[in-house]
Amino acid sequence: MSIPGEVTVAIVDDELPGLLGYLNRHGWQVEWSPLELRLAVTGRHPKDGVPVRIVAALDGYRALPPAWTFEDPTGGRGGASFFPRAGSIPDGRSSIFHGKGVICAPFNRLAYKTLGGPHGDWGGPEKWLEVNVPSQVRAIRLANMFAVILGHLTASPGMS
Amino acid sequence: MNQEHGGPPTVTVTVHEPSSPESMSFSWPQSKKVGEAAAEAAAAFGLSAEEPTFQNAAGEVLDRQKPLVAAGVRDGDVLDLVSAGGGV
Repeated sequence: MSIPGEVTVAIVDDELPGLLGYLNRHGWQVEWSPLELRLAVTGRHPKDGVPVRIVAALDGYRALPPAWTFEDPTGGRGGASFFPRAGSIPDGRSSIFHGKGVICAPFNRLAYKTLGGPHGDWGGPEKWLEVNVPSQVRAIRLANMFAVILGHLTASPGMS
Repeated sequence: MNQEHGGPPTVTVTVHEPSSPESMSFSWPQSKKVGEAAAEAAAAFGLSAEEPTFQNAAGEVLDRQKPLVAAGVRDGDVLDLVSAGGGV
């Protein structure tokens, strides 16, 4: 399923005020490129202070979830070579930072098996808004997604 | 910490729902569980979120089972509503 880029831009523009407010409260910065349909959020790992750049590729959003990845803003590394180590979060829940270098959450397109991810149990990424598994994260707006990522990043002992 | 008219000690906080620029103020007994308070806040924002919890200014996700005071919530704190779920 594809949707026009201008539709995605309008959706992201509508979500930006909430996202900006959240990022300001937590000391992170955002770059939004409507031409590339890419959102980049930069800050530092809460534990080890390593600079972190988290990118959301938003082509197709919200018919499809974003493709969230970590990039090293200082060295260009990405994927599993620059990815947070998993940490414990309350209630004994698992981290969303998968050992294969993928953010394992229904709001990440790259987590779906049809796109090379580990999850074949959520249906395809076009079903992402319907995925609601007890005890697993659920977020359907950019600010809520980033809040989940930051929460798990705060519990992470550091970058790999 | 507040203690109104001899009642149980309360804590007053500002809660944000991350996708909204708006915030709301709440006062709860310190002994109220994080998960119960977060569910009340989610309902006030018109959300039907399952298992909501709070995230503090340091980015930490608070344990839903703990009383607010034990989770470190203090008067004047600014909290965000987040999903308490994990990954796989």
